[in-house]
Amino acid sequence: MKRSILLCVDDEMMVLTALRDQLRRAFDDQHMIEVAESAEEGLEILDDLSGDGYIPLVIISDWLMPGMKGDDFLIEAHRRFPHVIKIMLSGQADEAAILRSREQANLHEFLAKPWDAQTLIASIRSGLNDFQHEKPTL
Amino acid sequence: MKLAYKLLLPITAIFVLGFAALYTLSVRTEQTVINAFEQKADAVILEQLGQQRDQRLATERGYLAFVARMAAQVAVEFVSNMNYAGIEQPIRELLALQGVEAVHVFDATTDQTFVAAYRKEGQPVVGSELPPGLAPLRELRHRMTDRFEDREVDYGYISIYYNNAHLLDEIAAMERASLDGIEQIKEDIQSAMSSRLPLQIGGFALAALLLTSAVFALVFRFILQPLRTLHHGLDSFFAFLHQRQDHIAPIELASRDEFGDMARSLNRNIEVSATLHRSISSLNENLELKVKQRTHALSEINEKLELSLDSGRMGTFNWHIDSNHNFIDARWARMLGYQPEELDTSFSGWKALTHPDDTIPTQQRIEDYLAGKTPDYEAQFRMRAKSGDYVWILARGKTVAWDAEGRPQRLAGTHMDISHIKEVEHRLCEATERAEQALVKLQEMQTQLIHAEKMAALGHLIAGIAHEINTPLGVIQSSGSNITHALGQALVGLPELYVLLTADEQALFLELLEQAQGGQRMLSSREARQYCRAHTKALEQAEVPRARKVADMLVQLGVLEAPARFLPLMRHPRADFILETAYSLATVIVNAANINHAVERAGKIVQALKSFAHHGASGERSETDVRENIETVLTLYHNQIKQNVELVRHYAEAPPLLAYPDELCQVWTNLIQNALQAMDYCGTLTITLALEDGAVQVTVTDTGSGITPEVRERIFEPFFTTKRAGEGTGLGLDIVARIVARHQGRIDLDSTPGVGTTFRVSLPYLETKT
Repeated sequence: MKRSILLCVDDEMMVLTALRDQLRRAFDDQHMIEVAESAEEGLEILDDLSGDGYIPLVIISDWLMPGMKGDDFLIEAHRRFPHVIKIMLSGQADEAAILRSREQANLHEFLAKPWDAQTLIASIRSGLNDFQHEKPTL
Repeated sequence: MKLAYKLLLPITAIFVLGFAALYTLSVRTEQTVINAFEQKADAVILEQLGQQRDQRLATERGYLAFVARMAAQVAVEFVSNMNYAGIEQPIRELLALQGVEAVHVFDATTDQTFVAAYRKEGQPVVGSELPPGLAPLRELRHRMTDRFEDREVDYGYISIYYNNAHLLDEIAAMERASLDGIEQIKEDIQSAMSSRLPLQIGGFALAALLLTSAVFALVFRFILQPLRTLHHGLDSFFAFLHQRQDHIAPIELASRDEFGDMARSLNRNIEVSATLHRSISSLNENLELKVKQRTHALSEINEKLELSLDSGRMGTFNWHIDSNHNFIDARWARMLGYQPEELDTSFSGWKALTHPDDTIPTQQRIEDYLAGKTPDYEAQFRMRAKSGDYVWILARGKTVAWDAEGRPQRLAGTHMDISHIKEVEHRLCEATERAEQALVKLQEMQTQLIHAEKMAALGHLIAGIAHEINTPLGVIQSSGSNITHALGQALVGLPELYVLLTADEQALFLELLEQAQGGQRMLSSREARQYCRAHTKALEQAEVPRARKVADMLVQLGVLEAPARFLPLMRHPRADFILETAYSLATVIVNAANINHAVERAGKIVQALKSFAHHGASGERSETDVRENIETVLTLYHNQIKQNVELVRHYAEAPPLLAYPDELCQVWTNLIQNALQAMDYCGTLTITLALEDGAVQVTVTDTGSGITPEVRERIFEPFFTTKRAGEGTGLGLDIVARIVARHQGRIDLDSTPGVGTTFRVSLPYLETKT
């Protein structure tokens, strides 16, 4: 039974649909893929599923969203789940937000939209690799 | 100071009169008090004297009673022993007492008078009878008793006749003395009072004077002096205004009272007036200078004019039509730089010197005049001077002689050198032409400026739009690769699947695929999760292995209701393979729809960008759907709005408006951009479109900080901006106002600081010009 989660957060359902199928193809046999349409919903899912005993492994988040922005979301997620690998996937993010995420959320990588599936998956794998080798995350 | 004199007398009078009245009142009161006191004192003293008198009389009575008793005790001895001779001595002694007039001893045992004595002319007379006339006197009678063998024996009585006249006299004298003393005291008081009078009057007068001067000093210090300062200040202010003074000092009155206030407001007034006055003076000076200069210039011109006349800029001609001979004067010749004898005076001579282009029209004019078609002869032509330059000539003339048949014989008049006027005219034409060219250039510049401003706004938007475009691009790319992959998988899986499945199962599989195709509605992630949770529970009950994954897949396949009907497939030994294949097929469908969606989005943005950036070079109005026009801009601003801004639209149906659509786009861009910035991209943006009074009314309302009245006054000025340097050109609203004016529309705004701002644009439907 899969007990680990990859979470995608984006306010565009079409992005989530594309991401979900992409990630499922790469990781379906290893991890469960969850999607959320806002940062708030993302935090809710993280809390719910970790309460049910699932382990969040990777968060891929957009930056520009209604309500909570990607950097704030990742910082909050980092506070709750410091081990999680955080990737920002956005068509637009200001430098300050990326810098903040790097400093305060241990951002693993920033990827710009339109994104390349292989790069994204490689980034996730490298993050997971680091994690499995138990390298210090901060 | 006049006021001081006016005030001094009344103030002094008021105090003197006031004090006099006060004094009179106090004297009166004092007198009344003294009178009342005197009356009261009189009454008390009289009462006391009366009491004293009564006491005295009572004492006298007690004394007499005692004397009578003692006399009775003494007398009883003599009576009882019948000792007539012995009693004489005590009786005499008794008579010697003051007031005792007579003594009578009556012997009861013999019932006769025992002895009777009285005073006669001061000498005592002792006998046995009393003289008459004793009745008015007071008689004090005492019984004479003695004890004999334990028995009371009455021996008669003794009477003493007593006259209290001396006592009464004495008392009266005493009373008189007391009353006299009191009268004396009263007199003393009265005299003391009257002697005090001059001192009091003097004191009061002095007090009145002191008070008067104190009051006057106060009035002087706090009223008259400030008044005088104000008066001097105003005087010098008026003197300044009438230019008797060339500078003005403020009124020096800093007190914190009404005068100070008055001085301060006057000072403000003075300051403003002085500034005004100075600027008027400087304007005046300027004006005087200009008038001087102009006068000078005019006189120069006049001189020049005179000079030009003198210097032979005008000459006369006299043309004999029959002989075709043209008589000219010396000045005429000099005008062209010739000596008179150098010139051919025939008509052909004139023609030879005249500019070839001008001969025909001039001849035509002469003919017209001679034929009576024009009232005057007037022509302008160029003639070659001796120097070779052409001189402009203004010719004016009249027929001065006719032949017998009334045909004109001679035409005479003046030729004037108007080259300088022509020169000016020429320059004027050139200047006008240049100005027109400049205007055209300016208009071009303006169009460019408007476009530049639009591009600046676009530049601001580009970052956001990049995101807007990159998102669908990313989706297209990913979904495309998802489809490729899924299709590959499905194509490999399908043949095997058909072999594997029974007919019933195949039908069920097709139904599953139909679900995937039918369920085009995109579920929100939350909804999807809820379905997934419900399905997981149902499938766990049905003991489907890996219920959660299967449930998830079913939801993705669009199976939202009754997942149990697909149980045969899920319980199939190759359930994973079957579901994976179905899911691959569904992935193709879902991602294809996703691509369509993304393309549509990207297309919309590109379209908006294209119509926004389109340079309105044609400058032609076209039928414009204002609503669509606004929507174009909103599309570009979508990602700035969607974050924290609630967008409210109220659009009424409005027929297309003949307008410059690109320019209108710019209006909405500016207004929306300003609205978003005003509320820092957080609040409610309301856009309404209504049809009112034959015009399209568009309002853009934000819930921002509002605009202060100061900013509001200047908001449509070019280059006025409240944004930080580099953020705005300050041209936005100026351009908006120009564009609205170009549409014969109006723009205004309502703003409440802290609540928000509404910009209202009204664009009228114009009569279509045919």
